[in-house]
Amino acid sequence: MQRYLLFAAVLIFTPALFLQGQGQGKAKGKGKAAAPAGPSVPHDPHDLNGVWRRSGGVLTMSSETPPMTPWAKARFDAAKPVYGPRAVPGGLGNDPMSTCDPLGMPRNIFLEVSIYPMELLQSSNRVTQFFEWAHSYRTIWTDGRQFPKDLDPLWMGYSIGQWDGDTFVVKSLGFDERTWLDHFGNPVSEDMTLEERYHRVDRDTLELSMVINAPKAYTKPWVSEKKTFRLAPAATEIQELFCVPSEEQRFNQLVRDPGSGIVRK
Amino acid sequence: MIKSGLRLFAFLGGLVCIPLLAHHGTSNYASTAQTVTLTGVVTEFVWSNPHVYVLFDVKDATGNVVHWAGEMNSPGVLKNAGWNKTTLKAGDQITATLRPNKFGTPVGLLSRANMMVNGKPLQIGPEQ
Repeated sequence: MQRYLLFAAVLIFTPALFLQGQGQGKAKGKGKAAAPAGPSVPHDPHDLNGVWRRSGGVLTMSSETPPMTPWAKARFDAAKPVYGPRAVPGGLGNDPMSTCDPLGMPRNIFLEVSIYPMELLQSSNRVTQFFEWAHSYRTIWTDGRQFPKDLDPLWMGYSIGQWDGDTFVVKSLGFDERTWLDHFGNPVSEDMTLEERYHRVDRDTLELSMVINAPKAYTKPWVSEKKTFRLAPAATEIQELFCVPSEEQRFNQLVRDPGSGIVRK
Repeated sequence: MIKSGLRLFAFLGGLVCIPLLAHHGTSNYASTAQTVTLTGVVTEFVWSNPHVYVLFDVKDATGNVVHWAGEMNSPGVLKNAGWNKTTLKAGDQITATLRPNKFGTPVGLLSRANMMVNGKPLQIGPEQ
Protein backbone atom coordinates (compact mmCIF):
# COMPACT_ATOMS: atom_id res chain seq x y z
CA MET A 1 0.00 0.00 0.00
CA GLN A 2 2.84 2.32 0.86
CA ARG A 3 4.11 1.77 -2.61
CA TYR A 4 0.78 2.72 -4.12
CA LEU A 5 0.60 5.82 -1.98
CA LEU A 6 3.88 7.04 -3.30
CA PHE A 7 3.09 5.92 -6.79
CA ALA A 8 0.27 8.40 -6.52
CA ALA A 9 2.82 11.12 -6.16
CA VAL A 10 4.05 10.70 -9.71
CA LEU A 11 3.63 13.99 -11.46
CA ILE A 12 0.94 13.99 -14.10
CA PHE A 13 0.54 17.23 -15.94
CA THR A 14 -3.09 17.77 -16.78
CA PRO A 15 -3.92 20.88 -18.74
CA ALA A 16 -7.14 21.36 -16.87
CA LEU A 17 -9.57 24.20 -16.80
CA PHE A 18 -8.19 25.15 -13.45
CA LEU A 19 -4.58 24.98 -14.44
CA GLN A 20 -3.03 27.31 -11.97
CA GLY A 21 -0.24 28.41 -14.21
CA GLN A 22 3.31 27.36 -14.67
CA GLY A 23 6.54 29.20 -14.48
CA GLN A 24 6.77 31.57 -11.63
CA GLY A 25 10.21 32.59 -12.74
CA LYS A 26 9.62 35.14 -15.46
CA ALA A 27 11.73 35.50 -18.54
CA LYS A 28 12.21 39.00 -19.80
CA GLY A 29 13.55 40.16 -23.12
CA LYS A 30 10.95 38.64 -25.35
CA GLY A 31 11.85 38.79 -28.98
CA LYS A 32 15.53 38.09 -28.49
CA ALA A 33 16.90 35.14 -30.36
CA ALA A 34 16.84 32.04 -28.21
CA ALA A 35 20.20 30.66 -27.23
CA PRO A 36 21.06 27.38 -28.89
CA ALA A 37 20.12 24.36 -26.86
CA GLY A 38 21.00 20.74 -26.67
CA PRO A 39 23.80 18.45 -25.66
CA SER A 40 26.12 19.73 -28.37
CA VAL A 41 26.36 23.22 -26.86
CA PRO A 42 29.67 23.61 -25.02
CA HIS A 43 29.39 24.03 -21.26
CA ASP A 44 31.54 24.00 -18.17
CA PRO A 45 30.36 21.10 -16.00
CA HIS A 46 31.65 22.93 -12.92
CA ASP A 47 29.46 25.94 -13.67
CA LEU A 48 26.12 25.45 -11.93
CA ASN A 49 25.02 29.09 -12.10
CA GLY A 50 21.56 29.75 -13.36
CA VAL A 51 17.87 29.33 -12.76
CA TRP A 52 16.84 25.72 -12.92
CA ARG A 53 13.39 24.28 -13.26
CA ARG A 54 12.62 20.68 -12.47
CA SER A 55 10.39 18.73 -14.79
CA GLY A 56 8.38 15.75 -13.70
CA GLY A 57 9.20 13.00 -11.28
CA VAL A 58 7.85 12.08 -7.90
CA LEU A 59 7.45 14.79 -5.27
CA THR A 60 9.53 12.89 -2.77
CA MET A 61 12.71 10.85 -2.76
CA SER A 62 11.43 7.87 -4.70
CA SER A 63 8.33 5.84 -5.38
CA GLU A 64 8.94 3.54 -2.45
CA THR A 65 9.47 4.64 1.14
CA PRO A 66 11.93 2.60 3.18
CA PRO A 67 10.53 0.90 6.28
CA MET A 68 9.86 3.31 9.12
CA THR A 69 10.74 2.93 12.76
CA PRO A 70 7.84 3.01 15.24
CA TRP A 71 8.82 6.60 16.10
CA ALA A 72 8.58 7.64 12.46
CA LYS A 73 5.39 5.68 11.84
CA ALA A 74 3.69 7.52 14.69
CA ARG A 75 4.71 10.86 13.24
CA PHE A 76 3.62 9.80 9.77
CA ASP A 77 0.22 8.75 11.11
CA ALA A 78 -0.16 12.06 12.94
CA ALA A 79 0.59 14.06 9.81
CA LYS A 80 -2.48 15.23 7.90
CA PRO A 81 -1.24 16.22 4.47
CA VAL A 82 -3.30 18.18 1.97
CA TYR A 83 -1.64 16.46 -0.99
CA GLY A 84 -1.72 12.96 -2.36
CA PRO A 85 -3.80 9.93 -1.45
CA ARG A 86 -3.96 10.79 2.27
CA ALA A 87 -5.04 14.36 1.50
CA VAL A 88 -7.53 16.02 3.80
CA PRO A 89 -9.21 19.36 3.06
CA GLY A 90 -6.78 22.21 3.56
CA GLY A 91 -8.40 23.56 6.69
CA LEU A 92 -8.26 20.16 8.36
CA GLY A 93 -4.61 19.45 7.64
CA ASN A 94 -1.53 20.16 9.71
CA ASP A 95 1.02 20.69 6.96
CA PRO A 96 3.59 23.18 8.31
CA MET A 97 3.40 24.88 4.93
CA SER A 98 -0.15 26.03 5.66
CA THR A 99 1.14 28.36 8.35
CA CYS A 100 4.15 29.49 6.35
CA ASP A 101 6.64 27.45 8.38
CA PRO A 102 9.90 26.84 6.53
CA LEU A 103 9.83 23.78 4.29
CA GLY A 104 13.44 22.88 4.99
CA MET A 105 15.43 20.32 3.08
CA PRO A 106 14.96 18.25 1.06
CA ARG A 107 11.32 19.32 0.73
CA ASN A 108 12.27 22.55 -1.03
CA ILE A 109 13.75 20.45 -3.80
CA PHE A 110 10.57 18.46 -4.21
CA LEU A 111 8.47 21.62 -4.55
CA GLU A 112 10.53 22.81 -7.46
CA VAL A 113 8.44 21.14 -10.11
CA SER A 114 7.89 23.53 -12.96
CA ILE A 115 5.99 25.98 -10.82
CA TYR A 116 8.77 27.15 -8.56
CA PRO A 117 12.32 27.29 -9.91
CA MET A 118 15.55 27.43 -7.96
CA GLU A 119 18.66 29.46 -8.65
CA LEU A 120 22.25 28.43 -8.00
CA LEU A 121 24.85 31.15 -7.52
CA GLN A 122 28.50 30.16 -7.15
CA SER A 123 30.88 32.36 -5.19
CA SER A 124 34.51 31.77 -4.29
CA ASN A 125 33.73 30.04 -1.01
CA ARG A 126 30.11 28.92 -1.28
CA VAL A 127 27.22 28.02 -3.49
CA THR A 128 23.97 29.74 -2.62
CA GLN A 129 20.76 28.00 -3.55
CA PHE A 130 17.72 30.24 -3.80
CA PHE A 131 14.22 28.85 -3.70
CA GLU A 132 11.36 30.88 -5.07
CA TRP A 133 8.89 29.45 -2.58
CA ALA A 134 8.94 31.57 0.56
CA HIS A 135 11.86 33.57 -0.89
CA SER A 136 14.27 31.30 0.96
CA TYR A 137 17.84 30.15 0.45
CA ARG A 138 20.54 27.89 1.81
CA THR A 139 24.30 28.17 1.83
CA ILE A 140 26.52 25.30 0.71
CA TRP A 141 30.04 25.99 1.93
CA THR A 142 32.88 25.09 -0.44
CA ASP A 143 35.83 26.52 1.50
CA GLY A 144 36.96 23.23 2.97
CA ARG A 145 35.46 23.77 6.40
CA GLN A 146 34.29 20.98 8.67
CA PHE A 147 30.82 20.66 10.17
CA PRO A 148 30.42 22.67 13.39
CA LYS A 149 30.34 20.61 16.56
CA ASP A 150 27.18 20.58 18.67
CA LEU A 151 25.14 21.89 15.76
CA ASP A 152 21.72 23.14 16.73
CA PRO A 153 18.83 21.92 14.56
CA LEU A 154 18.37 24.06 11.46
CA TRP A 155 15.44 24.26 9.07
CA MET A 156 17.74 23.87 6.07
CA GLY A 157 20.48 21.89 7.80
CA TYR A 158 24.16 22.78 7.53
CA SER A 159 25.68 22.04 4.14
CA ILE A 160 29.18 21.51 2.82
CA GLY A 161 29.97 20.88 -0.84
CA GLN A 162 32.93 19.64 -2.83
CA TRP A 163 33.61 18.42 -6.34
CA ASP A 164 34.03 14.75 -7.10
CA GLY A 165 35.16 14.90 -10.71
CA ASP A 166 32.32 16.67 -12.50
CA THR A 167 29.82 15.96 -9.74
CA PHE A 168 29.11 18.52 -7.04
CA VAL A 169 28.54 16.58 -3.84
CA VAL A 170 26.69 18.28 -0.99
CA LYS A 171 26.53 16.75 2.45
CA SER A 172 24.13 18.18 5.00
CA LEU A 173 23.20 17.47 8.59
CA GLY A 174 21.72 19.22 11.60
CA PHE A 175 18.10 19.11 10.53
CA ASP A 176 15.05 20.23 12.45
CA GLU A 177 12.56 17.42 12.79
CA ARG A 178 9.60 19.82 12.88
CA THR A 179 9.79 19.84 9.09
CA TRP A 180 8.15 17.28 6.86
CA LEU A 181 10.38 15.50 4.39
CA ASP A 182 7.83 15.95 1.62
CA HIS A 183 4.23 16.96 0.89
CA PHE A 184 3.00 13.59 2.06
CA GLY A 185 4.00 13.85 5.70
CA ASN A 186 7.02 11.57 5.72
CA PRO A 187 9.06 12.52 8.78
CA VAL A 188 12.49 14.06 9.24
CA SER A 189 14.66 13.09 12.19
CA GLU A 190 17.43 15.10 13.77
CA ASP A 191 19.98 12.41 12.99
CA MET A 192 19.28 12.70 9.27
CA THR A 193 22.15 13.18 6.87
CA LEU A 194 21.45 14.17 3.30
CA GLU A 195 23.80 13.70 0.38
CA GLU A 196 23.02 15.44 -2.90
CA ARG A 197 24.98 14.78 -6.07
CA TYR A 198 24.53 17.42 -8.79
CA HIS A 199 25.83 16.72 -12.28
CA ARG A 200 25.45 19.11 -15.19
CA VAL A 201 25.33 16.58 -18.00
CA ASP A 202 24.96 19.20 -20.72
CA ARG A 203 24.42 22.92 -20.85
CA ASP A 204 20.71 22.71 -20.28
CA THR A 205 20.42 19.69 -18.01
CA LEU A 206 21.28 19.29 -14.37
CA GLU A 207 20.77 15.92 -12.73
CA LEU A 208 20.45 15.33 -9.02
CA SER A 209 20.45 12.15 -7.01
CA MET A 210 20.09 12.05 -3.24
CA VAL A 211 20.58 9.67 -0.36
CA ILE A 212 19.09 10.08 3.09
CA ASN A 213 20.36 8.26 6.13
CA ALA A 214 18.11 8.71 9.14
CA PRO A 215 18.24 5.63 11.42
CA LYS A 216 15.86 7.21 13.91
CA ALA A 217 13.17 7.36 11.20
CA TYR A 218 14.01 4.85 8.46
CA THR A 219 15.56 1.44 8.87
CA LYS A 220 17.35 1.67 5.51
CA PRO A 221 18.95 4.50 3.57
CA TRP A 222 16.49 6.23 1.26
CA VAL A 223 17.97 6.54 -2.21
CA SER A 224 16.21 8.97 -4.50
CA GLU A 225 15.20 8.58 -8.06
CA LYS A 226 17.12 10.88 -10.36
CA LYS A 227 15.79 14.42 -10.43
CA THR A 228 16.29 16.36 -13.65
CA PHE A 229 16.38 20.14 -13.91
CA ARG A 230 16.34 22.23 -17.07
CA LEU A 231 18.14 25.54 -17.43
CA ALA A 232 15.75 28.47 -17.67
CA PRO A 233 16.46 31.38 -20.05
CA ALA A 234 19.25 33.62 -18.81
CA ALA A 235 16.95 36.53 -17.96
CA THR A 236 14.63 34.42 -15.82
CA GLU A 237 13.92 36.01 -12.47
CA ILE A 238 13.24 34.29 -9.20
CA GLN A 239 10.16 36.15 -8.10
CA GLU A 240 9.30 37.44 -4.67
CA LEU A 241 7.01 34.70 -3.49
CA PHE A 242 6.93 35.11 0.25
CA CYS A 243 4.59 33.12 2.39
CA VAL A 244 3.30 36.00 4.49
CA PRO A 245 1.90 34.71 7.79
CA SER A 246 -0.62 37.51 8.29
CA GLU A 247 -1.91 37.20 4.74
CA GLU A 248 -2.02 33.41 4.99
CA GLN A 249 -3.96 33.74 8.25
CA ARG A 250 -6.61 35.90 6.56
CA PHE A 251 -6.71 33.50 3.62
CA ASN A 252 -7.25 30.64 6.04
CA GLN A 253 -10.13 32.50 7.71
CA LEU A 254 -11.85 33.61 4.51
CA VAL A 255 -11.08 30.79 2.10
CA ARG A 256 -9.24 27.71 3.32
CA ASP A 257 -11.24 27.01 6.47
CA PRO A 258 -14.75 27.64 5.10
CA GLY A 259 -13.75 25.82 1.94
CA SER A 260 -12.97 22.84 4.15
CA GLY A 261 -16.30 22.93 5.90
CA ILE A 262 -15.04 24.81 8.93
CA VAL A 263 -17.51 27.57 9.68
CA ARG A 264 -16.75 29.89 12.58
CA LYS A 265 -19.52 32.02 14.01
CA MET B 1 -7.31 -6.78 -14.14
CA ILE B 2 -6.52 -4.16 -16.72
CA LYS B 3 -9.75 -2.32 -15.96
CA SER B 4 -9.07 -2.36 -12.26
CA GLY B 5 -5.57 -1.09 -12.92
CA LEU B 6 -6.91 1.74 -15.03
CA ARG B 7 -9.44 2.61 -12.36
CA LEU B 8 -6.68 2.73 -9.77
CA PHE B 9 -4.58 4.90 -12.05
CA ALA B 10 -7.49 7.24 -12.71
CA PHE B 11 -8.30 7.41 -9.03
CA LEU B 12 -4.76 8.17 -7.99
CA GLY B 13 -4.21 10.53 -10.90
CA GLY B 14 -7.34 12.43 -10.01
CA LEU B 15 -6.08 12.86 -6.52
CA VAL B 16 -2.73 14.21 -7.43
CA CYS B 17 -2.62 15.82 -10.85
CA ILE B 18 -4.39 19.07 -10.08
CA PRO B 19 -2.92 19.72 -6.65
CA LEU B 20 0.58 19.26 -7.96
CA LEU B 21 0.17 22.27 -10.16
CA ALA B 22 -0.39 24.43 -7.14
CA HIS B 23 1.58 24.87 -3.96
CA HIS B 24 -1.37 23.89 -1.83
CA GLY B 25 -3.80 21.03 -1.88
CA THR B 26 -7.11 21.38 -3.65
CA SER B 27 -8.71 18.08 -2.72
CA ASN B 28 -11.53 19.93 -0.97
CA TYR B 29 -12.84 21.18 -4.31
CA ALA B 30 -15.14 19.37 -6.70
CA SER B 31 -13.77 18.03 -9.95
CA THR B 32 -13.46 20.12 -13.08
CA ALA B 33 -16.58 18.36 -14.35
CA GLN B 34 -18.68 19.80 -11.53
CA THR B 35 -18.24 23.51 -11.94
CA VAL B 36 -20.64 26.34 -11.28
CA THR B 37 -20.82 29.64 -13.11
CA LEU B 38 -21.69 32.61 -10.95
CA THR B 39 -22.37 36.27 -11.58
CA GLY B 40 -21.81 38.73 -8.79
CA VAL B 41 -20.24 41.98 -7.65
CA VAL B 42 -16.66 42.14 -6.40
CA THR B 43 -16.35 43.39 -2.84
CA GLU B 44 -12.59 42.88 -2.58
CA PHE B 45 -9.79 41.57 -4.79
CA VAL B 46 -7.14 40.36 -2.36
CA TRP B 47 -3.67 40.41 -3.93
CA SER B 48 -1.79 38.61 -1.18
CA ASN B 49 1.03 36.10 -0.80
CA PRO B 50 0.97 33.25 -1.32
CA HIS B 51 -2.69 33.20 -2.40
CA VAL B 52 -4.75 35.67 -4.37
CA TYR B 53 -8.52 35.49 -3.98
CA VAL B 54 -11.59 37.46 -4.89
CA LEU B 55 -14.54 38.12 -2.62
CA PHE B 56 -17.81 38.76 -4.40
CA ASP B 57 -21.51 38.92 -3.65
CA VAL B 58 -23.97 36.76 -5.53
CA LYS B 59 -27.75 36.89 -5.26
CA ASP B 60 -29.27 33.46 -4.86
CA ALA B 61 -32.58 32.29 -6.28
CA THR B 62 -34.54 33.97 -3.50
CA GLY B 63 -32.71 37.26 -3.81
CA ASN B 64 -30.54 36.80 -0.76
CA VAL B 65 -26.94 37.97 -1.09
CA VAL B 66 -24.36 35.22 -0.62
CA HIS B 67 -20.74 36.20 0.07
CA TRP B 68 -18.56 34.05 -2.16
CA ALA B 69 -14.78 33.62 -2.11
CA GLY B 70 -12.89 32.49 -5.20
CA GLU B 71 -9.42 31.10 -4.61
CA MET B 72 -6.70 31.78 -7.16
CA ASN B 73 -2.95 31.17 -7.38
CA SER B 74 -0.01 33.27 -6.20
CA PRO B 75 0.62 36.83 -7.34
CA GLY B 76 3.64 35.64 -9.35
CA VAL B 77 1.66 33.12 -11.34
CA LEU B 78 -1.07 35.66 -11.98
CA LYS B 79 1.46 38.31 -12.90
CA ASN B 80 2.92 36.00 -15.54
CA ALA B 81 -0.61 35.55 -16.88
CA GLY B 82 -0.98 39.31 -17.27
CA TRP B 83 -2.88 40.06 -14.09
CA ASN B 84 -2.10 42.70 -11.53
CA LYS B 85 -3.66 43.86 -8.30
CA THR B 86 -6.10 46.15 -10.11
CA THR B 87 -7.34 43.63 -12.68
CA LEU B 88 -10.44 43.27 -10.55
CA LYS B 89 -11.82 46.07 -8.41
CA ALA B 90 -14.55 46.43 -5.85
CA GLY B 91 -17.77 47.13 -7.68
CA ASP B 92 -16.88 45.13 -10.81
CA GLN B 93 -19.58 42.76 -11.96
CA ILE B 94 -18.00 39.43 -12.78
CA THR B 95 -19.11 36.13 -14.22
CA ALA B 96 -16.75 33.31 -13.42
CA THR B 97 -16.55 29.54 -13.33
CA LEU B 98 -15.57 27.88 -10.08
CA ARG B 99 -15.03 24.42 -8.70
CA PRO B 100 -17.15 24.63 -5.55
CA ASN B 101 -15.94 22.92 -2.42
CA LYS B 102 -17.42 19.64 -1.25
CA PHE B 103 -18.90 21.04 1.94
CA GLY B 104 -21.49 23.36 0.47
CA THR B 105 -20.00 26.61 1.67
CA PRO B 106 -19.68 29.54 -0.77
CA VAL B 107 -15.99 29.04 -1.53
CA GLY B 108 -14.58 27.77 -4.80
CA LEU B 109 -11.47 27.46 -6.90
CA LEU B 110 -11.83 30.16 -9.51
CA SER B 111 -10.87 29.64 -13.13
CA ARG B 112 -9.24 32.44 -15.08
CA ALA B 113 -10.68 31.09 -18.31
CA ASN B 114 -13.71 32.75 -19.88
CA MET B 115 -14.18 35.34 -17.17
CA MET B 116 -16.51 38.24 -17.86
CA VAL B 117 -15.93 41.59 -16.18
CA ASN B 118 -18.57 44.29 -16.46
CA GLY B 119 -20.11 42.48 -19.38
CA LYS B 120 -16.92 42.05 -21.41
CA PRO B 121 -14.57 39.08 -21.71
CA LEU B 122 -11.43 39.50 -19.63
CA GLN B 123 -8.73 39.71 -22.29
CA ILE B 124 -5.36 39.86 -20.66
CA GLY B 125 -2.17 37.94 -20.57
CA PRO B 126 -0.72 35.18 -22.67
CA GLU B 127 -3.06 32.56 -21.22
CA GLN B 128 -6.23 34.41 -22.08
